[in-house]
Amino acid sequence: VTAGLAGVAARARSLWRGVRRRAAVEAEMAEEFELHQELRAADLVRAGLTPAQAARQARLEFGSSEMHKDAAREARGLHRVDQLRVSWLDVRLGLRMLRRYPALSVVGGLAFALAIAVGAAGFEMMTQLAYPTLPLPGGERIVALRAWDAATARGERRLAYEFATWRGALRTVEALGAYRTVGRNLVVPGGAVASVPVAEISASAFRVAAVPARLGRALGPADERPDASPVLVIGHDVWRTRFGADPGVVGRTVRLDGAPHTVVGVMPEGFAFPLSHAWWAPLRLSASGYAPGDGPTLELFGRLAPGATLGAARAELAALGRRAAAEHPDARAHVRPEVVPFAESIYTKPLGLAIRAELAAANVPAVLFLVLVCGNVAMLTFARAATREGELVVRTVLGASRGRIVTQLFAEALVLGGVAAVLGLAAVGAGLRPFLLAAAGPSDRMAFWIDGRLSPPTVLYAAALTVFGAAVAGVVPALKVTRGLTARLRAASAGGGGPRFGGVWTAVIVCQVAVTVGFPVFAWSAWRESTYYRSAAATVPAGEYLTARLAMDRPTSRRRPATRPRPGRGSGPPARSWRGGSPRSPRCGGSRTPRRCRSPATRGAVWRSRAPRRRRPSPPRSRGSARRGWPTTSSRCSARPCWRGAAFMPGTSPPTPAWWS
Amino acid sequence: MADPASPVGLLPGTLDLLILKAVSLGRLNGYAVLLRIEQISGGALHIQQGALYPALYRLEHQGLIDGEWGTSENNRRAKYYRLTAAGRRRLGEEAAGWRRLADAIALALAATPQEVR
Repeated sequence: VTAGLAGVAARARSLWRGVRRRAAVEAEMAEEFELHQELRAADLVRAGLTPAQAARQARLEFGSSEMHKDAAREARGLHRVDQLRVSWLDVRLGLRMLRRYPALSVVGGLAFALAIAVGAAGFEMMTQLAYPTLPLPGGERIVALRAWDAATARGERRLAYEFATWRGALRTVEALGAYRTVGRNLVVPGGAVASVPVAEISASAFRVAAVPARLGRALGPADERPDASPVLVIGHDVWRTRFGADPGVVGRTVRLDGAPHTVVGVMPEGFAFPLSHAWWAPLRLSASGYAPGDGPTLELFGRLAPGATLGAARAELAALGRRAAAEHPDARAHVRPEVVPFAESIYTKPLGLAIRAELAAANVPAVLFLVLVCGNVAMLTFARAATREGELVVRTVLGASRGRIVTQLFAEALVLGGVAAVLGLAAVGAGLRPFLLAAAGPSDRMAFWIDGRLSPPTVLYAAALTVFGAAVAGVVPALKVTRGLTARLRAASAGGGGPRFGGVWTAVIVCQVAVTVGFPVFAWSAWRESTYYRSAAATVPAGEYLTARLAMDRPTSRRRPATRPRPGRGSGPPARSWRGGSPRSPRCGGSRTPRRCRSPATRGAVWRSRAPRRRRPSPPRSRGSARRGWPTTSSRCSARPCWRGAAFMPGTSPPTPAWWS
Repeated sequence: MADPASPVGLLPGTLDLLILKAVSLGRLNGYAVLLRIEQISGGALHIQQGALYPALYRLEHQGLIDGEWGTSENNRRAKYYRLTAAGRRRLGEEAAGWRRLADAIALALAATPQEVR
């Protein structure tokens, strides 16, 4: 056994050396042959021949060095490697084929490019979703702190109490901060009014992100004081688009929901911490504190302290959770705090092997699509190879083996695939993020670390797809065409002929490939069209109407008892018309309508139903029935939802109080 | 009738055995292997020069001999071959097999009609 293993190892070593150092091995063989002939010539001179005669005689006796080299390479097991080696000549021939068959090159290349683009885009998304990383200094140490309510099987986001408690208690997480995203009407002097998502965020966020402002300053702890003047930090993109990249933007005043805010800083390009934000205002919480489960919804974040591990932070937070459960069993008995890497906080569940496997499985359809496309390209290649039978026969006659010809056709497909891969990757690099944004819709925000940029692993994956596709599109038809080539040579010599594809068949194949490749594009286009026609944009002249964003309120406190819908009233669909927004942070949970909140509107007026009040069936009592279409906000919220919103006329000045009232 | 003094051709498969035997006697370059085989066969075996090197590379590929570069007597860089442990084992096996075959063939050829009756 040992001798056998040693023999295998010796063969592998010799083969590897012959493959890796082909030129060096060839040079050594030439040097050895030359020495042999010199030594033989010296012997012949000693035998009485002249040096010239001896050298000639030695060369004649030795024979052809090239033949000996070939035999030696075969003896080393390198002849099969030689057959599979793609030479520069093969590449040039492949490029020549692209020019000679332009229709095949265009149709096959575009098909190939689309398939590789789909595969690469899927892989890139899988990589970014399954292995997210924050593109921030030390981003792997930034964590999110959240809580899970085991009783309701939902995340608990009213964490103002925990925020205050943990900020003073946690040792493994430093610079603990919180944020919430709120919609605000933005008025830039001289510009259009717009509804923008503003991150009300702790000043520590900018310490956690460790990114300095490009202009001015980031938020500071003093900005969080209730008596501090309202300030705003803006992102690079909005600085460029809404402020014309004004270098003197710091100090300018904008209005958010009518309140003046001073711009104090501009963050650098690409900065969108914590999620995809471009407007940051200081988070100001009540100085009197909050009870557990009370206060605004918050997302918490921080940075692992030096030397602290994620496991240590989890253990410490679990201990704090147990303490809170003991101190507040009514509100915190079932709440389990947890720490996750911030980049993974976009997932409700911890990002484990199961989710990663699920994401990876999403690549399978892309690979199958590649196989489908390459199968069609293989038909084209087969048709082209069939028309080149004469050339292949001549190459066979000249000594080319079947493996060599298959390698040549594979190289031609590889050239086509290489060009297509460049096109496909360029398309993915330029269009993946816009595509994702378009697919997500304007109301969804995408985490800034899901940027759709091509990573080196994706380029390698695309290269592997290219080789695989070239094997399908090149090797399979090559094996078919070269089967029985010698017999067809004899038939051709006798006046017969091999398989031929006429123009009609070629056109049919080209059309089939075009339809196969074009179908997904057509399907996508149709889906986009149908989405558009279902949207208001297709049927409503948006420039003449109000636009609005609506969001369901949850009850502000779970301690409020009036969350159960009452039978027979307030259970129908929401009001069908409205004219404004309810006050910011209204405490109008439960079954109250905005009007019943009895709070004045800060933006426009609260709405009222214009539809005649009709008696409606009793509201669903169970969660299951609620899911069947009743517009309840949740089983714990009212049957008559409480709307918050912002309304404005696009492209016009901000609404005046007279208009709203 | 063949001339007893003229070189004879090799039987298939015997070149590897002869090369292993030659390099077992000392480190040799390719040309010296050729001369050593002719020497130890009393000039009876003639090796085609073109067949020598593929056989050498095949044995090296199989790990039976090991080639290393050194300096020749005339101060030229030359590749010298030596027998490996695996090659020594193979030589012993092949030699024993060859002797049994030769004895069997000699015995067969020495048979007389009286012996087979």
